[in-house]
Amino acid sequence: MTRLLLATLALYRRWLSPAIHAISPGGCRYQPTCSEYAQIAIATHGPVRGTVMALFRLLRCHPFARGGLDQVPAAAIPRPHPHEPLT
Amino acid sequence: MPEIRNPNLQTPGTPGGSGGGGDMRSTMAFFVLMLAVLFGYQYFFKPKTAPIAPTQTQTQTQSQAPQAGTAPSQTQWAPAGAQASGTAPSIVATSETETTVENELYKIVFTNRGAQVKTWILKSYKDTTGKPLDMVQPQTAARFGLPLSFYTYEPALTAQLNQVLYQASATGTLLAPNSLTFHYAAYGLDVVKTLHFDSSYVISIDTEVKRNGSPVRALVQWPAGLGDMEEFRPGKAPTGSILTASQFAWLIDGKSDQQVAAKVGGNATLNEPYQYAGISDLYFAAAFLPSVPSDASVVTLHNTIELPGDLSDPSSTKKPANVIGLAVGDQSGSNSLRLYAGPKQMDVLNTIHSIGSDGKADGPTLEPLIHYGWLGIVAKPLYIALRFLHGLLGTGINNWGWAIIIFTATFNLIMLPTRFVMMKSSIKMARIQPKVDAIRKKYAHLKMNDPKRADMNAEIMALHQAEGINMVGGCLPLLVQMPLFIAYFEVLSNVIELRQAHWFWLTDLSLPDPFHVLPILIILSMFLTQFITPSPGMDPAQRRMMAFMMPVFFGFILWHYASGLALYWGTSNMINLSFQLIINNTKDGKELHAIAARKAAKKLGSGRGDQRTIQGRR
Repeated sequence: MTRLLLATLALYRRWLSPAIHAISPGGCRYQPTCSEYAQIAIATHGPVRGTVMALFRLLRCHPFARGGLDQVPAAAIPRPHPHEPLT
Repeated sequence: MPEIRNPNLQTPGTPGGSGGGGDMRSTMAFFVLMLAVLFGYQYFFKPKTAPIAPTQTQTQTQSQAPQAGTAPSQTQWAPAGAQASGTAPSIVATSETETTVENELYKIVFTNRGAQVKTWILKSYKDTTGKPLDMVQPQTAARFGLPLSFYTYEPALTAQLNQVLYQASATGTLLAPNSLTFHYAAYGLDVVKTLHFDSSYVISIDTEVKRNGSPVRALVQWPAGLGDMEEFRPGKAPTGSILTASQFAWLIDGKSDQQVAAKVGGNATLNEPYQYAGISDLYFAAAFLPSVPSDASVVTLHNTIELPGDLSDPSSTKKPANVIGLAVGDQSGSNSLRLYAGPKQMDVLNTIHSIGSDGKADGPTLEPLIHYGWLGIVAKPLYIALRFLHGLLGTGINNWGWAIIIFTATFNLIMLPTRFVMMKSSIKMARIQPKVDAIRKKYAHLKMNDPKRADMNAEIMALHQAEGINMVGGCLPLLVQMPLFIAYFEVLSNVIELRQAHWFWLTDLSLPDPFHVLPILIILSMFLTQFITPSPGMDPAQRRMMAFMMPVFFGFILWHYASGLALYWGTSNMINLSFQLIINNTKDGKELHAIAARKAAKKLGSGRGDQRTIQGRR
């Protein structure tokens, strides 16, 4: 699942994002960009939590937000004996 | 919020991922899948279907008795389940006569055979062949019956009521406001159908059917579709024109809803407080408004007719087409109705109120008959704005094409400041791109989930701040532009005023450009815009791809859909192109071009550097 999501995001960043920016100029008010944020979040926090975090990041991007640096929070320290991931 | 931890999700992140890239082949496959899902969604959810089955199926009667075709003389009719009472005097006509009722908007021809409508011409509209538009579909009417005929639960009685010769109160041509009465009395039956006409599209209908003195429930029907149904358009439907199947539309207790033709049940009786019930296609509707909604009774009619797949070629394979109709009346037996048969035009529909709960004509209007598609929230205001502009232009240049152009230009000018800031920012971005690339390269070996990635972003951010790059506009221009594009699409394909609206060489703004001028113009201008727009952070392959793919993609869409859409996109494109040209000539823009030219020169080798190299070959 993680791989699938990351592949989608990579694909979006490679082909769709330029297409979008070709229609309308613009950039991102946040650094990292939402898609990069999503990639990092999913890679760091797993597909479920990462997706939720990315969605909230998308909601934070609106005309009244100031933008700026908005990093993905660091992952929690893994438990000594993690059970198998659900996916 | 990211801070909130879900205790169920204590699994540490699955390690690794594919490092962002994934292998290219699976990625491509996934891309195709995503597209398929998107298009699939569009395809299946496009017609707004209300999966409401007819709620109260009271009676399922046999299919209607064949009414037309045989046309026997009236003397042949035996009393339908009734004792002939010799005492009542017979009121019958001896020959078939026609009565024409006309006002500014319509010309309706009635026949006294069955007291039905033969043709219902809307004077302000023309069909696709240029003839005046007839609300009665000749093919389906011949098989399934004419408008304003009766529907009863006894096929024999239905046939009789719709075949006998009534005595008309007038023949020849009547001018509205006026009224017309059809009367038939024989064999114990006493049928009166009174119609009132005024200067609007609405007519009112009062009927009474008595058998041996007691009322019989006989509903008034509009049995088989509308004259403008696209299934019956001669010739092949133009590519990209949207086939909007007929719908059954209604309003109960102030709530409107509709059902696509294919899902409408046949001969299902619905006793609900209908404020209106009717059938509608893309641009026209026939809707009954019961005078007493609480006693209303509606029967939906559903037939199929075999039509050649290609209407210009009668020998092509036939496929069934849905033909829907409805019968509306009062549960008591004597009906009092109004009937609206006309265009789904907002101004007109807004003046026609259904009967409200207090029994007066102050209920909701017929306006919900118009649909603006799934992005109605944007499309409807857009339509209102366009209509306002259209009205503002006055009678001199009364043209929807100009309204679209002016609206687009105004809109682009409002967006100009944001656009300007964004363009300046992207020029600055291009200037620092080498530095950003250097930072990215420094961290490139790190995996996506490496905490050190944060340092990279911090470094980039610091660089942005040092250079004074401000991306305050964000994705706003895009978020505004895309819905507007879709809204234009919806308005152009749903609003009747844009049907057959012309602008210079465009004969119909709701159909594709007949001479392919606009799409070509758009492809060229988009390509040019792409070419001269600085877009930092894209590698050349990507860039080349975009420079060609985007214009081709949009060109393809605009080629096949409403030319009004192309008019909008073209206008907006031209404005952006000229604006980009201006920006490129500012100090920053020139500097950027110099950078690009230097880079290109370096890449190609010192001698062959072309000074005029622009962004596309960076």
